Amino acid sequence: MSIITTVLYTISILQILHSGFSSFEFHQLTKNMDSTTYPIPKDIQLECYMGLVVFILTSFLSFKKLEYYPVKPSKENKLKLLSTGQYLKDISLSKANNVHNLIGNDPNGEVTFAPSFVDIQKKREEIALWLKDNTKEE
Amino acid sequence: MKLLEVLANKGSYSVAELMLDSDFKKWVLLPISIMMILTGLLKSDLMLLISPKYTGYPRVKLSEMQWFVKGQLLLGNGTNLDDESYDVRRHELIEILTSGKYVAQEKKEPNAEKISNPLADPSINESLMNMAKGNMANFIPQTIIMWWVNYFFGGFVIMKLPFPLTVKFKDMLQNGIMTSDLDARWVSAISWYFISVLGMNPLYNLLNSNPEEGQVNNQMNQVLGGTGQPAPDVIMKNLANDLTIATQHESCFDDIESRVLKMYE
Amino acid sequence: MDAGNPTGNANGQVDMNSATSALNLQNMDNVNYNKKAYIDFMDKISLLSGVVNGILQFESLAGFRNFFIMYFTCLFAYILFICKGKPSRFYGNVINDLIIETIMRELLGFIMAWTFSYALVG
Repeated sequence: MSIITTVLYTISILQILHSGFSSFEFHQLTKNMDSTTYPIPKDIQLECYMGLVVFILTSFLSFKKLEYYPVKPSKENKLKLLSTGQYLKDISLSKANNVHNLIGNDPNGEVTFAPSFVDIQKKREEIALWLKDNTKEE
Repeated sequence: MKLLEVLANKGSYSVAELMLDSDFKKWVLLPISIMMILTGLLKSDLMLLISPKYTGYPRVKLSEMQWFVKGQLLLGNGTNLDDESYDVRRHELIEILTSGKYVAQEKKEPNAEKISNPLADPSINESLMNMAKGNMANFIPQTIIMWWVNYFFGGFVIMKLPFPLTVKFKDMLQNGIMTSDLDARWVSAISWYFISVLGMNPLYNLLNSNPEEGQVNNQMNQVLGGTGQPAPDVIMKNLANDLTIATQHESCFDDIESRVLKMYE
Repeated sequence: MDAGNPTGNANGQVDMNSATSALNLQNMDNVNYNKKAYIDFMDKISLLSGVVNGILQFESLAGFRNFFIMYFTCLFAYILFICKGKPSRFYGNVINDLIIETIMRELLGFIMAWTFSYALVG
């Protein structure tokens, strides 16, 4: 919860508590006067409704757009929070994987990451060749 | 504490207005509510403590399970293969499943009566025990609180419900109050207990914001040959029979050339 | 969220019982996340509106009417602003997930809060 939602929640709950206490006092007072029932004063009603409205609006405000840390920093984006601009998560698997793609996370990594299939000798040859080519120029 | 005094009757018995001592709120309504909330929180913590631990399976059991799943997947998703590879896989699976190569061997006990008594199986016993513990954790606090409310706060009206009820509720909600024609809206402490038992779920949800709560039941793994199921080798034979029958195979690659060409016509 | 998990185990619990469901595979973690978000939201609001109803001493039908007005207003606002008008993207079965599964629970919570504050204030 950010500061603004905390503050607004506090204000609305205090408003409702205060109007509740006022309403309680009012009822105690009218009970001791006579047997007729009086409507609750307008200001108490207004405060109560205000509290509820502020609370509901704050509940909407408290939804944050989901943000994700990228797994690896890219060149243009150095570990900045990424967002899809949504408050909820997509349920269909294809859409849900878009988030994994966005942050550079391979959801099928367990299956597709197969280091034992890498031809290490060929890689070493390539690197040796590259080193040979590059060290010559020095 | 004065119990109750009838103040304004207005002459009509249907709209009897009772004046309740405001100490009822302080000393009956609030304690019951606080007690309900605290026991609810305690119960959820307790449930976490006595929740069943995740038990793994031996490797042979897992491989047995996975061969079975493999057969099922081939039956379900076989259309994604072409005829040749489908047949190769089918024949291989039929062979493996009928031979029972991967059926987990269990230690055979000489006395056969063990099978007839499901309670003797330790794994079933454990699951029964867990279920019993869960039930106990549910109903023991409820019984205790109900007894507590009835014992300490019985016999008087504490509140007025904001909605009217029919006379049928009188017996339950005005239990122990000796007024035969009091409106059913005036209720005793036990009815506040009932209402809060029914309505506390949202409050508990907000109070213990446990993020892992939704993931408790995800670890239910189906094991072959559990209680009430046929033995794993029988299941495998059945699956092998299904595979033998499934000779009619329609591949998604049939006529794929003409279909692709049609797309670009 | 899953950033520290490069091999990704997040959608291990995928509903794939047969080829028939191949077109609507769902990520169960996200389904649960969305349901929890909605239930938390509605729990807060129904409890507090119950308290407000009690403070203002609404009785019988007026109180239930207020609950339904509040519930459906919040539901529509939720669909409009939080789901951005496309609830089927986030909930598999919109009517069931957003209304049928929750309305009884919220109504009972509302009645509890209403009764409580009604008795305390009155």
